[in-house]
Amino acid sequence: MEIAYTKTTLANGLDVILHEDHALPIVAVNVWYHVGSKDERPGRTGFAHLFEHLMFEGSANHDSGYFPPLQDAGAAVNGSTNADRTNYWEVVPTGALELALFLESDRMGFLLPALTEKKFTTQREVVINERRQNYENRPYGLAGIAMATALYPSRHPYHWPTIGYTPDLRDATLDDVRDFFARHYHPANASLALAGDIDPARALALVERYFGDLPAGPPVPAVAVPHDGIASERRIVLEDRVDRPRVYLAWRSPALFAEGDAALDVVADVIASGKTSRLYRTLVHERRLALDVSAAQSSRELEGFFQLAATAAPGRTLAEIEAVVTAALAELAADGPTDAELSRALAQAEANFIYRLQTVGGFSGKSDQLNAYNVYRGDPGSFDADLARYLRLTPADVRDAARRLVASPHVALSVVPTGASDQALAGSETAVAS
Amino acid sequence: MTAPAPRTLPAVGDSRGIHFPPIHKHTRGDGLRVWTVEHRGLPVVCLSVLWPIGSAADPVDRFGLTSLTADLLDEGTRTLDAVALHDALARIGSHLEGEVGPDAAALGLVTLVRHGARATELLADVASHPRFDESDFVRVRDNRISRLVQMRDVPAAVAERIFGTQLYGAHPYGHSSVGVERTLRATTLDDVRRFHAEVLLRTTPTIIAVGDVTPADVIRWVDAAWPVQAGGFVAATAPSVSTAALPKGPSLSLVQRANAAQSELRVGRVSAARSTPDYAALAVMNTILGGTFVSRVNLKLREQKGFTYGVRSTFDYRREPGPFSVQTSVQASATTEAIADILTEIRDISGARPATEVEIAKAQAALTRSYPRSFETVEQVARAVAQMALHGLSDDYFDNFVRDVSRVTAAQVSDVAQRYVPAEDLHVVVVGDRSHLSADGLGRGPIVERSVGED
Repeated sequence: MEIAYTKTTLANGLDVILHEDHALPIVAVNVWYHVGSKDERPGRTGFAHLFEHLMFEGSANHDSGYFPPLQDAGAAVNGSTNADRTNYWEVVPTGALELALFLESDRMGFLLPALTEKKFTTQREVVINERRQNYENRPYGLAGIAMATALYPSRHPYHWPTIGYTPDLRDATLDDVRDFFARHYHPANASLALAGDIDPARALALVERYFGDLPAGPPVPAVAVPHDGIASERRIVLEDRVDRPRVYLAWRSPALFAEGDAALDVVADVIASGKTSRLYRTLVHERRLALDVSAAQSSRELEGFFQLAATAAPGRTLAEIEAVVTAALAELAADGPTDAELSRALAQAEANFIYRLQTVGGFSGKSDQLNAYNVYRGDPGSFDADLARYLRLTPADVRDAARRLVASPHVALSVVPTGASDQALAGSETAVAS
Repeated sequence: MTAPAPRTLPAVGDSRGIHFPPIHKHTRGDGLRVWTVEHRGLPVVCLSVLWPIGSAADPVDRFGLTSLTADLLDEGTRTLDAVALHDALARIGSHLEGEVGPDAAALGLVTLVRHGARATELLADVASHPRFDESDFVRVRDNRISRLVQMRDVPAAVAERIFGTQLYGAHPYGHSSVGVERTLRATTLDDVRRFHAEVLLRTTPTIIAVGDVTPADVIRWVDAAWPVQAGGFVAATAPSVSTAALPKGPSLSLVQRANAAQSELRVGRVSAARSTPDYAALAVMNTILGGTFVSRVNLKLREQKGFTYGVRSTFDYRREPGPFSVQTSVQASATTEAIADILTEIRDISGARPATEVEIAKAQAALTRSYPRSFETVEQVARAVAQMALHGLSDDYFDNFVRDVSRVTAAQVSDVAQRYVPAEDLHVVVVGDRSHLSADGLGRGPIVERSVGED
């Protein structure tokens, strides 16, 4: 399996990746800007995500909203922001490719002349509402923010949340926002992938027509990463409007594609994913200490983090859960997975790689994968290499990854019902989650 | 070098149309149906089984029974305990997805084609020979009860639950498929065993296969794996339903949530059934009102006022008339104004500001041009086929949809808005802090406080 593609870099530095798939009369247009919340600075957080909103509010040559012409054309449109990058995509009928390219190019080259104080303040309010809805007003919604705050030192680019701190958003000025755009949103910091019902020569000519004359923009300096980790285990507690206490254990871990990254995916799988996992069996099925358990290696560009979470069953304590989790991790770190556990995890990984090839666009469709590989590895053709790093894993690789993980200090976050801080793990200090 | 383009909005060119792929339909001697759609490209297949029996058929003192039974199916079979079953599924790169709605229950998976026979075997085993151990039953039921307790903290879940009872009262659509704490506590393993053996297993199943397969492959897999029903399967008996006894709108319900940062809102009423002859006109009307990002309500509440991250309206089409609802979460201080704005937008589309020809043309274009996108993955196609099987839609239904939408007129849009969503009847549900809610001027009557508990 491979995603056949061609890659061309325009004179202004824009990478253009083309993939033909004529199964349906649709084309996916996918743009990655290599900017995320990691590129922000303390006191001015939330900008990359705020831009994801402003980018839909019109540009100089089409100053009347991004969605209407695309919606009329039958397109699906969305975007997302994380710590590392921002992506924007459309999936359009074949006949609307040029429309999508015009709109994407216009906001890449001509957003600022159309950006007004009114648009800025309205979208800032929308973002503050998004933050209330998805974080503040949602059970356990602030856990991720509390965890990142504790896990990374204050100068670390992953310390602050992608959604931003509300006071920072309120303090932001239009000039701050213009400055952030000028630094990061230009062809030399972007990658454009088209996948679907295209004629590559014609598609490339269209891309050249719409993007070719945009100025390259200034080089984007690499983000500085302080390497001081957490010195020792930390326990923190967050009170929330929840019924059941939940514990989150998190470790800083290898970056995306780094040694140990794929192995930690398998660790997560063996330890806590699905009903075959060790902790589902002990915590949920046999001993009924927890209502649920999950784990994931979150692979990110600068470094990853590995997190495990479990919600206490009625009458059970987080301390009981923590003891079982600690023992299970220690056992995996000592003995590694069984051959059967590893082969099962790899069968799932391989099938999931193939399922991902079903869509040309959207989040994690083929165009998004081509851009991800291009931005993070400089090579859109990394599908096979990515799969191979899983298929060659041995039980010893997985054991070693688990061993390195548990040898490093972690943060234990207890989220407990309001007024019930006694239900947290012993010795927890009050978490900072703002 | 290509010359730079003029920076003006390019016209949208034509795209080739698509046809919904043919469905190969096979009926076995016992009535079991096998529907296959060949969807080539990748070596994957989606296999599912659909029973036209859902939570609306739950006995009144056993709300949640269908859903609980479906949830217990994957706790192991007579020959495979839960761990062995999930291990077997993982080894074919798969996992089971169960779904129970008001009208149907379904169980399905996606796997690689080379595992198709094994996947069918596992699906048949899970559906036909569940283990139903007492200890699994107690754990799964108790976890569901715990989740229901947890859901009392989730404003959207609370709003949905109150909205359901507000609209439907004692009607079978008035409870969510998961049930309520009281009825789950009353449910026993015998109830589950009896429902499975006497209702689910006797009801005609439709096996739906979509992927890089031939009908002959799928029929062979099913024949080898699916037990033959002696005496034949029987058609599902729909619960007897009277819509005459539905609670009358309008109403204004509040679930108090002190100091909530946002208010969760639902506005709507019992509206249209899947079989409505007005389906296309309703689709156009809803697209304009609240079906898309550029809809009237989203432009008003999000883009003009910044009250919310988003708002949308939907028709949930069911066998019997399903709910129409506008759903959003707004900043607390904007609660009353947001409700008034939503009611105004609904009222105006059939009154003061009827849909314009331009809006209608845009909605038609959006609906018809987006159509090919809906059939990209095997799961998407399988879901469409399941709708056809459940609601008895004709094979050319999806192809005709494009034509029907193109013919909708402005008069029809106004007419369906008036008949299906009359603003004066609408129920409003608020989960938020009462200090931000005023009944004055909303025309819904006084605020009625509700709470979510065991029932």
